[in-house]
Amino acid sequence: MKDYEVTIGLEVHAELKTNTKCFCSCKNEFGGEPNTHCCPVCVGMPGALPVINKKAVELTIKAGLCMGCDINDIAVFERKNYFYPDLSKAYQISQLVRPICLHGGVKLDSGKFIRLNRIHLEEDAGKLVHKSETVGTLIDYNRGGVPLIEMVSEPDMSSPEEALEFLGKLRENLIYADIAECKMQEGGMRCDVNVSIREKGQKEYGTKVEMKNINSFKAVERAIKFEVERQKDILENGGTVRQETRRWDDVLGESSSMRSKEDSKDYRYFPDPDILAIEIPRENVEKIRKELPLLPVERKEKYMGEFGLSLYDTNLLLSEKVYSNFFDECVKLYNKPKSIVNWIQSQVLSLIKDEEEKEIKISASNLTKIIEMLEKKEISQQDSRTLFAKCWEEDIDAKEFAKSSGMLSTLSENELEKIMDEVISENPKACEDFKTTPDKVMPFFIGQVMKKTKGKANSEVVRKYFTEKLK
Amino acid sequence: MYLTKLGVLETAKLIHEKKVSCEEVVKAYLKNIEARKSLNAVIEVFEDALSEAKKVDEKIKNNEPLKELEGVPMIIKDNILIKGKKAGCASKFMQNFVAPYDATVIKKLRDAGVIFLGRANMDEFAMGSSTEKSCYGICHNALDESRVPGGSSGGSASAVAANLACATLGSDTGGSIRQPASYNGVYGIKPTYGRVSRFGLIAFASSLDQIGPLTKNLEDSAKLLEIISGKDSNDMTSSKEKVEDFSKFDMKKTYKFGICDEVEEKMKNIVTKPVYDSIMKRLEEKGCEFVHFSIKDFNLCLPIYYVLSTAEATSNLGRFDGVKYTVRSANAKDVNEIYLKSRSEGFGEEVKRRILLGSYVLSSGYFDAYYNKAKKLQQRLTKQLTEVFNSCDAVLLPTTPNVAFKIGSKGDNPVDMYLEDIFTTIANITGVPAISIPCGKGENDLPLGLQVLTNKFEEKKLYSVASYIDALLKGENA
Amino acid sequence: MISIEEVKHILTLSSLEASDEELKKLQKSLSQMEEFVSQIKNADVDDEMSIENKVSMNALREDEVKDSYPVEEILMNAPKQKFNSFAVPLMMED
Repeated sequence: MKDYEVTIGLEVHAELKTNTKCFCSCKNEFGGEPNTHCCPVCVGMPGALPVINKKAVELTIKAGLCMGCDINDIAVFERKNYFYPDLSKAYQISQLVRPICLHGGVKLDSGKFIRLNRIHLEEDAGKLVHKSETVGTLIDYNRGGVPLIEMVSEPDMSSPEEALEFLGKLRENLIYADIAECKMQEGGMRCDVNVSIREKGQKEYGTKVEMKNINSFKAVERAIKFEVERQKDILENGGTVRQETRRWDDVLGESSSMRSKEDSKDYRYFPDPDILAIEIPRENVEKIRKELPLLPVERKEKYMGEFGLSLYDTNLLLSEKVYSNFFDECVKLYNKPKSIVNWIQSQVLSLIKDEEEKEIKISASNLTKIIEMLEKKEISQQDSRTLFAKCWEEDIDAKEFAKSSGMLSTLSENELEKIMDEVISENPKACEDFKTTPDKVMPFFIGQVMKKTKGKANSEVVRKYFTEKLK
Repeated sequence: MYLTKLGVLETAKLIHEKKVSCEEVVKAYLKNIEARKSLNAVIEVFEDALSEAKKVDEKIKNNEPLKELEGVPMIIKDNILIKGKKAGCASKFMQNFVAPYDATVIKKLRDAGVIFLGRANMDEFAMGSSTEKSCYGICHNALDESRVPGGSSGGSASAVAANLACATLGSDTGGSIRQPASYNGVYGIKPTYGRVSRFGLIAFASSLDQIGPLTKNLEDSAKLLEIISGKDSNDMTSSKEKVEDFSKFDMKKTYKFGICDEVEEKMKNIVTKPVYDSIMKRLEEKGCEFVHFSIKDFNLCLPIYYVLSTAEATSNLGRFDGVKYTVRSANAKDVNEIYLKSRSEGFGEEVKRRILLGSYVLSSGYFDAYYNKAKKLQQRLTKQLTEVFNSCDAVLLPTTPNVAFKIGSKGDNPVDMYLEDIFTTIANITGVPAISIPCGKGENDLPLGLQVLTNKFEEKKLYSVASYIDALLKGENA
Repeated sequence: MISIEEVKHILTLSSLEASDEELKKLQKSLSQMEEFVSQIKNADVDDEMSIENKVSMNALREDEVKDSYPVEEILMNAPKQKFNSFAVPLMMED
């Protein structure tokens, strides 16, 4: 077998997190009874006209800024014409010549930069449900008109691992910037893969084969690996790879040629006359840029650099946007990142790590108050745990509750001294034993003091006092 | 009947002043519609027309406040959606379609108190200049039934001329309001592109279509345009430009008119030339000035129009597919066949031809040579025309090369029909408003029309100029 | 003159079909129409097109949900409907 170089490009679609569809005010929501989120516009009724959603444009710009794209001054929408039952108007409103975003890209951990060609805005098609011979195929347009961004990469990836990493980083950015939820199982993010191979040293790229129907990260990996092998086989046997679109079947683990629906299609693109060109003022772009939250890559730098967190802790926080956002909120209120991450790890995550919907039921305000009170020794370790649980269950203020329930009682120096003297006078034998085996007896004294003070004493202070007093 | 000769404003006045009941008015029109059945101008008379009229009379009886045009009956072209009523673009493909919503213009007319008598006949999917291509049969000219009423709003124009309603609504993509208006001796305006919302108009060519009224006089036309104009949040291409009081004509003593050299060149061979020459002479005698200008791309108007309109139409008509809004072929075994057979059986020949030409000019390999170039030429042409308005108040030209032609007289070559639009397409391509007013007679005493064009969004000036000329032609002192 | 092959191609693009006889007729009409518009092909334009019909992003529609249409109205003109959906004969997974 000869040595081959693999070239991979990805075309990723993500459903935007808007309230309404791209060209009408119907609800943008997954599921729902068929055709209940529809209106004349999204079902392509005669006489209906598209009205573009400002938020969809803003989120597309946001996505472009996340990936370092150039944002066009003027964006134009075009009609992509073809017949298919899930396309209500027999054309999809998309972008061709003047997309909202151009260029940009994503840096992989290795330092390799994967370039993007463009990010543009378009509308989704409806859903086909293939039932049976008698019932036939049913068409539901709830999804029709949902705003999608299409992100097209340059063919810069050379392995399935790189493709996965690129996809993962893309997805992370979209989630962190609140642009898309990217739930692949709901079709919130879809990926088409282009694969070609060429002999090592060959200048020209090999024939590009497109693969569709890839519905999970695992499938991306499997599909690429399969396709590379398939193409290698063909070339090794002296054949030529046909340029085509193939359908990936993840269950069977193989791809098959799609019928001519996709081959050499002439979409007859032209600018949609119902939609005026959109002018994107620079101030709007800058405003969106200012409001961008820190992206995972930037957060990682901050957590490890500025806060000095470990890689393990950092990755834990970044594994879910919810964790990271919560952490950031806490740090803003109480600047002790290491304490906070410990609490999140030990207390918060243990409660929700197995949940589907990761909902943190304690407020940042409460958590930071608890940590602060504990660190100032205003409450005991045990009390802090009780308080945490209480705040998780109920809508209370940590400080108020600590006060009213008596957890929060400060011990004055005199009171502590009095109690320590009490312990001394109540335990004469221990005092004797202390002279010979101080290390054995000290824990007992500390224990006694803690009992009397309900854990509020500072053990160092106690240690010092007893050591001095019983010398 | 005297009642049915009246226009919109006069009828509203009579009804509101209780001089006549709305029921009487509607009954009179219904009688006319029946009497002139042979015109085939009205596809359907709405069953509730009379009951709607009675409702108006109830309101009047109870001295309730009345809307501006309460009780005025209109007939609407078959490509404008009225909720609950059929709308089919005179196509057998769409013969069962019932509108689930009101077009914006219908909502506005309703809010003004207008009642709808029925649907006007038209060329199928608005593609035609004679209303001979309707699945409901040929429509006839109101003044000479052996001739066409023009198209595609032939039914709308014929109905006004034959007094089947106070006024009608039509649509104009390449001349489809003005040419039939001219052929029937009535007033028809194509507003500035973007002046009137297209929401609820079954689209033919999205960047050229506009809805407009066809009326018996200019005051009605202006009033109706005032009512249906305005920015619509449902139509991105509708304009924010202020809707002025068009119906308050503001005539000057004299005007400066622009005459296009290329039009004059065409007119050398036109038999109706003397009619227009005489009008120009009369205007000159009143002190009006004439400036001559050349529009270098004038002779490209028709090709530009047919490239752009067919391209947009081929895309707009994709949704008619045998699955959602149309009838479905009985012979289709799978989805592909549903598309192929339903569309091929459902669309008429002219519609199919234009769909095909549209696909052709958009197809890979031809897009740059045809569509893209036509777009560039459109921009150039628009600049050429709008510049002219810097040196004159309005541009004048004939609406049509001649009077209405005999039914069936245009041959097999589809292009013969396209030449009808020679003087009208420029207003659609450039987006400027254009009105056709009756201006004299041609052979067999048949009406001719004169077009007045102004710059974009100058409808107020347009009506003022038009009324100036109209008064002159009617022999009144302006 | 547009070739029969080209006519067939645009028929496919337009989801229309024609019998052999109709094909010949179409070829003739379309060629006449094409000739009519061919002046466009030969016209001399090299100007870059400026984009004139623009709207600022700020004037676009706000992202507020409005009521959708009742399912019955969405489907009321469908030649065939089942289970609140438009229905077509069973399609092969594509």
